[in-house]
Amino acid sequence: MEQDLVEPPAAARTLPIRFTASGSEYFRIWIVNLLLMICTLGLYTPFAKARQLRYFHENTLIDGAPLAFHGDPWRMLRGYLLVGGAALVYAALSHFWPLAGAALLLLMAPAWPWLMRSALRFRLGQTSWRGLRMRFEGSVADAYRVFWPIAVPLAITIVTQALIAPTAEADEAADAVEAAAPSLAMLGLMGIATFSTVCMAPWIHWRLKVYQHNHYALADEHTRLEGVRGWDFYKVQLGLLGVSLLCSLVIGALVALTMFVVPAALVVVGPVLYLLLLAVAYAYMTGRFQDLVWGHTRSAHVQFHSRLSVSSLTWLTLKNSLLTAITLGLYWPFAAVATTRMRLSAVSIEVSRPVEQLIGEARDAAADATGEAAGDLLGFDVAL
Amino acid sequence: MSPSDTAPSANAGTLTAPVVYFDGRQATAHPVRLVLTGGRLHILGDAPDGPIALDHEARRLTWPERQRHGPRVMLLPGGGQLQCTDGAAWDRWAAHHQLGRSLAVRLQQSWRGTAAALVLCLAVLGIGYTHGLPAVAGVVLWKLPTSVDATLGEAALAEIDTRWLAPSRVPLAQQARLRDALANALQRHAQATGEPVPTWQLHFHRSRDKVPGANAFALPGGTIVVTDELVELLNDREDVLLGVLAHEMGHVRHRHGMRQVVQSGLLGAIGGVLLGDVSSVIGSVPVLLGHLAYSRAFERQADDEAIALLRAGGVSPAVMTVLFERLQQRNEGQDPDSSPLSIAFASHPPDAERIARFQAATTDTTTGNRNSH
Repeated sequence: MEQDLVEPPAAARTLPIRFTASGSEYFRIWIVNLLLMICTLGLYTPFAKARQLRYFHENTLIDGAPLAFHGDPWRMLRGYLLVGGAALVYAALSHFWPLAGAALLLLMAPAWPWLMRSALRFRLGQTSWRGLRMRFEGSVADAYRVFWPIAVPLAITIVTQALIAPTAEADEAADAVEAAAPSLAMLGLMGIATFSTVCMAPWIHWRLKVYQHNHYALADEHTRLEGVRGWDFYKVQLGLLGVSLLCSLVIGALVALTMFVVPAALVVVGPVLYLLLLAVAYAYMTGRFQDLVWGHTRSAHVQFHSRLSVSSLTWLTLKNSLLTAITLGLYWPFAAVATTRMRLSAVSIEVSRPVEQLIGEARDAAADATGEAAGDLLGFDVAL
Repeated sequence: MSPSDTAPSANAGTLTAPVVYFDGRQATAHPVRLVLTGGRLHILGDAPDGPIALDHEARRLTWPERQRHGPRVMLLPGGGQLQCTDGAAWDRWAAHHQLGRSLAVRLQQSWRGTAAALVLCLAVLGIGYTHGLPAVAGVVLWKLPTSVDATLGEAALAEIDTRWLAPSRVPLAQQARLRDALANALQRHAQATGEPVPTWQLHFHRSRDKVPGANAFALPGGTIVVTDELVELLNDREDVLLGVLAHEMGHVRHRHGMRQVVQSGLLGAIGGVLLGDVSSVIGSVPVLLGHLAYSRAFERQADDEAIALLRAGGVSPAVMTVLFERLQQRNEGQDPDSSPLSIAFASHPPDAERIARFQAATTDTTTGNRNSH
């Protein structure tokens, strides 16, 4: 490893991370947020999001000092209305005219890298530790460079899928052989496009993580992602495939056993085992990727480590899913706090210089909140 | 500020817990003292490069919310922030000066408040669903010109025709008789009540397959379709057929088809916003659920129209029980929901309640011609 330490190694120490949030407290915040969101037909959502972020930030104590969230909900509202309007238009359009919907998606898709970068800049720019704001320093051009290899196959997939849907319906009514011929070529094209999109996805995912983790900054510390190759991401996906297959075999055997022994119990056992499979998949993906990506993130004087136990996360996720299902969703805040706590306690930060020496840089705090709204409304999670 | 000046009012203004100040330019933590006097917050402390003496108007600042655990962070205009690890002491101090208690915070501070919020949530959802949504749909419908209905109805009929219908084999004389009966009943009803006669066209079609079978339905714009199978089922009872046509006329008069489309669309949109997901399968579940519930209210309205028009035509509404019996015999063992047309007559197997309403309506006709409700 390159020796760019200025201070002697004796100054190196690990910053303890504590998460002081409680499920019951977050539940109360969440319920009030929900009530206000319903009463305002969704307009309160940016304010709810701001309160939630503030709660999670201020209860994350790194070396005894909490993170602070500076986001102004009124700016987030503007972005939220913009993205919300666009999403409604798309949904209405695609309901009546699927082809127009696909066309709109193709038109809006090129904005995606820009929106993602905006969301990252906003989320980081509105977060501070010990009074110093974090930054995301990735450029727009680099954001597009991440995605360009997959742009063409993805576009072809979207278009062919939109074209094939109405053609399939016409087959029933028309009952003509000619209708089948274009379908076959189209199906082939769609198949190839979809297959190449899926194959490229882990590679693009790796490019995205490299882009993100190469550009986080606090004061004069700039992070880099070192020692992770695209192949490592494929290994995780292959591992996921293997684990899922193994799990499915076990579950299949258990289901068969239940059917022979106590068929009535299948009603309960079936869904539980299915949730177990989902929990295993989620925990494996989350744990392996968190360890891989954060474990290799470092800056001049800071080194991150992550050691998340996949089995612990699996059991926690299963427990969360079951309780959330039984309580019709009311357990969700407790689940969110518990999951965040487990993921945070797996992370440790090693610094090789006194933290008091960090000096912030003067910068413009007016980052665009539109990206944040896009990430939230369309379910894209840019959480660290 | 001399520390020896300890009048009780000055004490209450000082926060007796360790507070740290970050200036936003360096990561150095400066211990400070906070004093609230005269509506202003004073921040006082010593830094290596000089004393710290800031003050802000207390009400202008964003005060952190009360919590059970965790530190308190207060962001200051100008980029600095204050942090206090003793949350309880901060809360007491801020509460003493009536700061940091918005409605949201007060609601979530007690379990009673939270429970009330939960109940209110469900109540608002329930009321919005049963009353709010139809009301909003009503307003939208009011603004929507009836030409939209006609266009939608034509498109729907063309689609249904291609898939499920064939030319009718009902004799033209019978068709004319049924049309006249309906027209007369509408005329008399209009004279008696002053309600206008809606635009309507009556079509007869044969069903290609089991679907829609013996059935009748109304489309936006006033198109009423009756299948040959239903006419054959009630060949000897044209008065009952009049009842069916009158029922469909109820759907036409109240624009139920258009209302269904608008309400489903609204429900889908709102459900999507609340669930944070506008285009997934989850978003369409509220629409499916709402679909079934609304049809009950519509059927009741259409039944009212049937009762009114039957009376106007001099027929006892109780004759409808004949139809219900015959439909039940015919559909024995069949799934009543096999019809893909939600608003079609046979999709809603008559329950005891609807039969009772028709039978109860007859008691009024025996005393002569009465105005319908």
